[in-house]
Amino acid sequence: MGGQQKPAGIHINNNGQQEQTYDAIVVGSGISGGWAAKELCEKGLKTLLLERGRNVEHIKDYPTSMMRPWDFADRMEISQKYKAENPIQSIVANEGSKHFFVNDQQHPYIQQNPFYWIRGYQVGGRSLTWGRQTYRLSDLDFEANLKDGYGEDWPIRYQDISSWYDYVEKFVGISGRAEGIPHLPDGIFLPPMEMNCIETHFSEKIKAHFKERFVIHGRVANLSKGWGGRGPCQYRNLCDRGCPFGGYFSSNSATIPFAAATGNLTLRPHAIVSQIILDEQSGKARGVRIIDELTKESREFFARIIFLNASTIATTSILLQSVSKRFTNGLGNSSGQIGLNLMDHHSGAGASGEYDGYENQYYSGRRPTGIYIPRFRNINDQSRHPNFIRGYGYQAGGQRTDWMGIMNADNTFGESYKNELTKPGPWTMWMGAWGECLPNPANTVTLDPERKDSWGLPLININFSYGENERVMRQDAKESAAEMLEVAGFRKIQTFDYDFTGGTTVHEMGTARMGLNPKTSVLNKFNQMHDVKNVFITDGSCMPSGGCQNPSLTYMALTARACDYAVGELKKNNL
Amino acid sequence: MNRKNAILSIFCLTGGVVATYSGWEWYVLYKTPDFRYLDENKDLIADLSEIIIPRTNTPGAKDAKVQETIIALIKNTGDRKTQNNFIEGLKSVESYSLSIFKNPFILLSTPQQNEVLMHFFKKSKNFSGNLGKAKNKILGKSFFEILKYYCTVAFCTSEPGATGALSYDYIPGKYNGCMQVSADQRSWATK
Repeated sequence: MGGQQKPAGIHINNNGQQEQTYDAIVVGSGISGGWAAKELCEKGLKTLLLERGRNVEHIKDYPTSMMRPWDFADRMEISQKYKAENPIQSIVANEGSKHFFVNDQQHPYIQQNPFYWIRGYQVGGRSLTWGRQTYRLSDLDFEANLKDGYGEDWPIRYQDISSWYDYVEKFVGISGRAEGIPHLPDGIFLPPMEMNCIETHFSEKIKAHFKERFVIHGRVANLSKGWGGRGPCQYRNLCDRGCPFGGYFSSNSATIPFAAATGNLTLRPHAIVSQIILDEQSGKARGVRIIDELTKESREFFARIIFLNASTIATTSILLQSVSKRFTNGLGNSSGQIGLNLMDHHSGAGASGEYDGYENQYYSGRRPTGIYIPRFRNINDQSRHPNFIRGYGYQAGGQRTDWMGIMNADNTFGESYKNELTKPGPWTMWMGAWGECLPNPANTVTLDPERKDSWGLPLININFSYGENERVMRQDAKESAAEMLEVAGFRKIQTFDYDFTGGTTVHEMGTARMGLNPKTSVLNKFNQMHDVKNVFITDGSCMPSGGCQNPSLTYMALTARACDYAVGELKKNNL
Repeated sequence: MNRKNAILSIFCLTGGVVATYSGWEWYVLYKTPDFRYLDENKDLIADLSEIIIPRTNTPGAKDAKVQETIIALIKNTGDRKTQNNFIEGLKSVESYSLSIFKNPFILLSTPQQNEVLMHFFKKSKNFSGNLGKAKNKILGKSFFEILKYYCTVAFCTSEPGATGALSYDYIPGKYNGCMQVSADQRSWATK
């Protein structure tokens, strides 16, 4: 299948007796942890990759990936039992992917306001089930906090990261097309996944009518051609089950096998990191303490550098759990900033419509992406919106109405119904905004002082709500979507606003922010803790602001950049 | 306006207090569903489904054995209101068939079966707009809506339905975003 090879040279550390000391420890094997492991291993460091969940081996552990609709007992409907036991994960998980999401009963957390914390505790983390949309940030984003005064200024600008975007894109393999849009910089692309008839139509109409609104191909980490021994994408659109063809980027399909191939990687699943151990004398971290998920035994591992990539909220909790004489309120927390400024992207507001025409046109294959409309609000003086700052981009897609749409229409039954059900219905377009969320210190991650989980670790308390800027932006996103559909000749236009709850977009960010000033930020411009020089954090928690672009690509680039810096510092004996 | 409509109008006007609904009707909605009745009436479900999606020159509901799937889905994925409304609906189909045609549903001719189902279809349309939404929220979906939903899902995700009536491509291998098709082009079973 797809020229895949089994990862070679992977050591599984199951007892840890003989091997307790490494050059580097990476906590978390998701999208950024996988990158840290690959980079550090390739630079010759003996690296221990810790993952709190079970192992998931590429291809072998994708049990639903080749199943047909009729192979599923519940035909991809969510069972009441699963929903009752997993009120949060069932928002995202389906019958084909639910084994890649945690059990809500086993992993409780506290919500001050509703916040969906979607999690995948396994090797690969959420890189198995991510949306795979990959967009660069630009200086519009890196300068945003400085310009409007919300949050901490980014300590880097686009020129600091652009070559690292290049670097990770070359490895990941991203389908897309160069457009020359300054605030959505071009990357290194494989051929784009083409637009369908209605999307091309829409793109042309929008181009003719609006000066600063562009309809472009979705940029996606699915391979439009074979790349680095993976893929190509088979256009099945079943990515969240794991891809036996390696058609999309995940830690499991890409970074971990490359890390393992160096012979320098030791992977330890079922290892819940409870603390980072501080050497009070040197002020550096000595290693980490873990709790074995299965035996609940505690054990310690040591290394010269530590990369924390547990995902935003979990990374925050590890820091807050790591108290010492020096850091009574959490490791590296002299700024008091750890746990503040939690962000997500708000999504699910937009519009849809139907189009009369192209009746004799259809598509074949199931493309795992759609189209994208980059931000067009507040990009310059002319595009300034009077009522909100920052902006949003649309993810959109056209399709012909299928049976899932037709069965909900107001039709009867019998032969005419069957006929309608089995013929391609009218063309439709759906467009939803992904919008920026302002950093707000009132949105916090803290630890409950009393309640504990099954491993004796404090329950995480999430206090998050969206603010007025997001609310107003959403209104504009709905209206602008409807306006664009109207311009392009659609009818039956309906605006929608599905769910304005934090966590819905699964883009948690911001709780250990980067910044130039150690008094007001946690990490420096190389994602190194101001207070503890041999600890690096390159997951979403490092983000001073979120832009409106899907963030994973930026985590990858920051990770590769931080690894390069860390190894340089190691060689200079600075760490 | 029948009694249910009157009650629902009040709900909508006043913001609604659930307690105005009779105890018996709440009991029917929330009682432990009678799954045995469901299992015993597989043939009835099969016949009803065949009226909704009949065999033509392509497979129909019975060819896809949708009754088996419908029963499993009602049990596993339906909430309690859906389960009870469906089971009570099956009972109503039987009593309606007996009262109009003096025979149980499965012994009726196809035109008679169509007539019975048309009665339930019309009944499901008694509410529209906001009243309909309020009704669904409070009382659950109507029998006809539930039957049509599960029958369609069961059929379109079955092998005969997906490959025989619709078009299913297991591993497409490539994507073509815009191609000319003929008038008898079948719709894709999955997206």
